Amino acid sequence: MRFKLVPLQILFCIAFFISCTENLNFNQINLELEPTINVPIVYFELNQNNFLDEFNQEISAVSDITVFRILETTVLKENLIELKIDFEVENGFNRMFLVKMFILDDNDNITHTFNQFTIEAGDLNYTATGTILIENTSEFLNSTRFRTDIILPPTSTNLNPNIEKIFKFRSSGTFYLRF
Amino acid sequence: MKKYILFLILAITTSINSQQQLSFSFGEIPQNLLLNPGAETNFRSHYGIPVLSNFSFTAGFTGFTLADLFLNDSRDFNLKFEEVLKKIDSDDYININTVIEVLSAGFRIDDRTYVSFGFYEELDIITYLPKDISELIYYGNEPFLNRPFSISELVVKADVLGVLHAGMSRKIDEKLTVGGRVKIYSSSLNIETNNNFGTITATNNNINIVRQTLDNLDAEIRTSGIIDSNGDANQSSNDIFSNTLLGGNLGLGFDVGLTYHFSHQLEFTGSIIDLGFIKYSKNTRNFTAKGNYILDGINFEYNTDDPSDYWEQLEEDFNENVRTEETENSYISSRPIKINAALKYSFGKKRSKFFYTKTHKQYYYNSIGFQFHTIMRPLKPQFSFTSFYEKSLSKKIHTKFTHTINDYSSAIFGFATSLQVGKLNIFGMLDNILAVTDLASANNISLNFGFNIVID
Repeated sequence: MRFKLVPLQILFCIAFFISCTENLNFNQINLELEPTINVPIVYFELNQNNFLDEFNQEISAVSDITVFRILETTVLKENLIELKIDFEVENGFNRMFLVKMFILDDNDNITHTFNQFTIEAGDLNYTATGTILIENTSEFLNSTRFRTDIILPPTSTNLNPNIEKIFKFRSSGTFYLRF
Repeated sequence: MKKYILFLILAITTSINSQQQLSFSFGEIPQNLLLNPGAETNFRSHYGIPVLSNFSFTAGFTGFTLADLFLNDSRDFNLKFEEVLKKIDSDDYININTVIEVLSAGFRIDDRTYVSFGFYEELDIITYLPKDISELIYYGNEPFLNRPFSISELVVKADVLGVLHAGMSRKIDEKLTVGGRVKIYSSSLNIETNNNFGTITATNNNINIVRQTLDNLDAEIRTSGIIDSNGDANQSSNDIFSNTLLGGNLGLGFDVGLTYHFSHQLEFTGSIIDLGFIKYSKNTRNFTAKGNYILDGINFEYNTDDPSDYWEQLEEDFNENVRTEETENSYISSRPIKINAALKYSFGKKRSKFFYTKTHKQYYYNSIGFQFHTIMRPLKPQFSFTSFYEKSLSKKIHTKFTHTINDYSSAIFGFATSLQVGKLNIFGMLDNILAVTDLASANNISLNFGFNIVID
């Protein structure tokens, strides 16, 4: 019996101790999650009627604003590193437009301003990107509103209410997070 | 005596990486009755050493190894994680199961009938690895435009429960022994989600640069014992344990099994375990979400006469199209059914053993056979196919060598021992000998041992 048992004991004891000294390190779990989330933001289409009043007189600027509450979530507030916003504009008018965009807080304080876009007449492929680094503008995390001003500078070419012209604006945001 | 002490050390150390099912149809272990209530018993009575009569721990995972993540090299952990994320698929899973037998005993009513009963605690967790959702959380959707991320891969089932049981095995004739067991489950904690549907996809389109589509979402998570009626998730471990003592959600289950001798040398054993259910009605909290939604962003209308609250409209529109609900409804969950079967052929030198009835029975010192084990899991059954060779070294010492093919590996070599020291029965099992020398590359780690007083 001794002959049969001793080799087994040696085999398993060696195996057991070798298994305990495996080259594993469970302290190295320092996983950093850095997801990038792409979401649509604001889009709109304007035609010539948006820039004409009831007397067919030109309106020099139109403006709209929306509330957004996503930055109130703890996940974004604590982990947002950078926000990149892509813009695409198609200007079907034979007039130039200026686009101003502001991000505001609840008290209408500006938390971020994008560079003004100048969209030349007939430019159907205007693209631009705005980048917000949170570490440089921490007040951005208090933002709750997004406003756009579309300005139609006066020229000698007047808008014709009977000829349809379209101004398209599209935007998407890429949120860079780090956990 | 020295031999027995050495063998006791061996039994404990070698059971570091074993599997409970290895003991099916092996030796004369009282715990065989938990795996097959129709197992033959040749002892007068047995008494489990409280808490130590049967302890098993199994942790297994498919799709990757510990070395893939935790090898002590200089490589960045994120890089290793990304490689694992690339390797796994939605069929891969992590499974943890622990059984601690608190009380166990049995006694013979007559020559043909043996009654056993006891109480054990069980923790069972299986979570399939949702590759899509994991990649979405890890990378975000930006690198995967036009790829639908499936929510259906989210499959989890976790239970903490106590099981009070009583069973009986009865010898019908020289060839056939049958048995059954009744179980009362008391679950203190449950979380499960399965049969979820839906995808989330980011695409390009003409309306805006990006469109987010939530398509055919139908998801539900059921929980019990995690959030109390006040909405707090503050159950202590004492609460969880005490609720397993018939204070939790109750359920009923049955085991059935048989042993049949085709001849003196050819034996078939089979059992179906945990045919039962638990009704969850205490501290239940269920979450559902159902619907479709397309998000193109906020459409500015530039209507100065009637300015819109776009954000409120967006929230209302989403809530109208994607219905979410939180309920405290009770629900029923079935236990994971296990099926065991073994065919054993005995041969070689015979040995005789005298029993309580003053009769004697002949055993063979050697046997070979096949055994099959399956457990019903939420996504699909897990199968194990095992071939084995049993060798009795003496009347008191039995050994079993196995080769198993299952989800984890096709080369799992196992070893089991059963030892009788006076009236003390000790068993221990090792089910992955090759992995012991290379734990880093192993997919499963398990432990099973027990101490029982057995009176012939």
